[in-house]
Amino acid sequence: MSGSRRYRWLALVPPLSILVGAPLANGVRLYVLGLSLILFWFVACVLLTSATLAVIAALEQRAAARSAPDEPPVEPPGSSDHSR
Amino acid sequence: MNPALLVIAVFHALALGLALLARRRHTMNLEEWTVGARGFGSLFVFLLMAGEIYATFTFLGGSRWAYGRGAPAFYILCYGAIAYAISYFLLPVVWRYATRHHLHSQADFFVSKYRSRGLGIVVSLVSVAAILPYLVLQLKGLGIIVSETSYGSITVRSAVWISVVALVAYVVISGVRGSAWTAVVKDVLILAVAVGLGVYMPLHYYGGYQPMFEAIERAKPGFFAFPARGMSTSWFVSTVLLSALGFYMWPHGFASSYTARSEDVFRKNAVVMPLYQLVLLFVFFTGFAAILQVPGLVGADADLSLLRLSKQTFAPWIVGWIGAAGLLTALVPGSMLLLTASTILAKNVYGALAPSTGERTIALLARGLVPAFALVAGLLSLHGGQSLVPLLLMGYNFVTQLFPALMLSLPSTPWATRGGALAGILTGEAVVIYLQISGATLPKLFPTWPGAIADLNIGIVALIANAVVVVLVSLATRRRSFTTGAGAR
Repeated sequence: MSGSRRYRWLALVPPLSILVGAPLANGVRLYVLGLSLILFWFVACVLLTSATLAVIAALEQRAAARSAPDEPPVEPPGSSDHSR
Repeated sequence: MNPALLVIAVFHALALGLALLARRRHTMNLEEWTVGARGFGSLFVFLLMAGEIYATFTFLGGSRWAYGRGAPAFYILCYGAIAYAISYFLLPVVWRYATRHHLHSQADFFVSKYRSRGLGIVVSLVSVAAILPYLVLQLKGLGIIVSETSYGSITVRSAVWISVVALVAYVVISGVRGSAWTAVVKDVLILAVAVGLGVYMPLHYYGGYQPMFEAIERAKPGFFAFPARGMSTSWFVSTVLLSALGFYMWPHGFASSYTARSEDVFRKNAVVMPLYQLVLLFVFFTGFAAILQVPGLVGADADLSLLRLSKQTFAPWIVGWIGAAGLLTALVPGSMLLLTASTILAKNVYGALAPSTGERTIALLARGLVPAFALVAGLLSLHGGQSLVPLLLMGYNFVTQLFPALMLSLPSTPWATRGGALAGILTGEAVVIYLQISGATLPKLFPTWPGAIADLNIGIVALIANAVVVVLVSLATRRRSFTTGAGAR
């Protein structure tokens, strides 16, 4: 994994939104699109997860295309244990 | 024959037929039987993974939580999304290693990474201890769904045995391909049924979602908020995290990643799976709709909220579709559980104790274990009574204990040592068992602690103890294992 793939940290955003949002939206009496605020927030976070991973996948693909034959790194010889 | 039964029978036959046909043109050696010769594209891997995740729990449990508990049910929706974000990074790494080393099971992964058959046996036993009650739960759920939706014309007992015979037949004959093909029928059906119910019920009974939420809020104020104590937001946060970490530690889910043709499959699936997760939202809607329509279901009967509401609302031929979807949500994960348990018992337990056994014998033994394991699960689901409840509750915590040792094995030279991994897993499992048997809870253990800490899911305690032990024992034994190298195999 090259160190420049900092955009991978984006993947932390949806999980943190779920965990931080729960106490904030809890008990708020507000309806968004027919859903109670907290349920709407969770649904939005689930959708955001999908979108974020799609963005990361696209960026990775672009990075892979740019550095052309970007094969997965070959493991050092020490790890080439055989399972049988 | 009533119309509901006819619909259920047709779908059962369709799934079984597809599963048996799936064998065609494939020689069933161990590689083909367990991991489909690692040739599945995105769609099949998606169907397999969705197939085992959205089990009877989605249907009965999801609606029961919504019906009986309100907001705490939302944890089921949330942990999956986090698990998929983890899978985006975890599964390609697992897949690369598993493919390079021709692994067939999750226990194989530990055996190969830590070069220890003994660790493989421990992981296998933990897996089987978690799988058996989970399989029993699927069969119990299946029995309930089929007997309810057939209006009692099929008893729980006959439903369980008919499906056990079908499961054994297609698992033995078609292996993982059988599961994947039944998953095709199942996923289409459950999507249609769950979304259909979740859209129709709130509209039909309340005229929309917001009116439904408001009506329930009036009848049960605070139902859609986490309570201040007990299942509070701190319970929610810890439970979502724990469940997300344990998610891919289930041996059948882990091993189904081996079936993929390429690692890109997992990146695509990680994008799609959260969307599919929203099926749960519609299951919740149905559970919520049931609150004011079929009130008063408590205890085991709360499982029936979705089915009772459906029977009250629809004609039998529509109820049959719901029954068929319920049946398939048990069959698909059931088949994966059966296949996985048999594989690890044959390969990682028997094969480790008798290392000279050839792969053909292992493959035969694995298939021979399928009917035996299914028989035990069938009997326990009918006669196990309450004895399985503690095991069921422990199952998820059992597999979650594999997380630290697995993560620390991922670098090309595992960071943890064999002894560290073993000690960590054993410590974690011991704590899980102790907490379950003693009935300890954090408020009982530490009555003076503030609610935010006391409400944490107690499974966290086992995981932390486990992680600390893995790290400490690994640090202590590290140098030695570097110098002794790979001598253990």
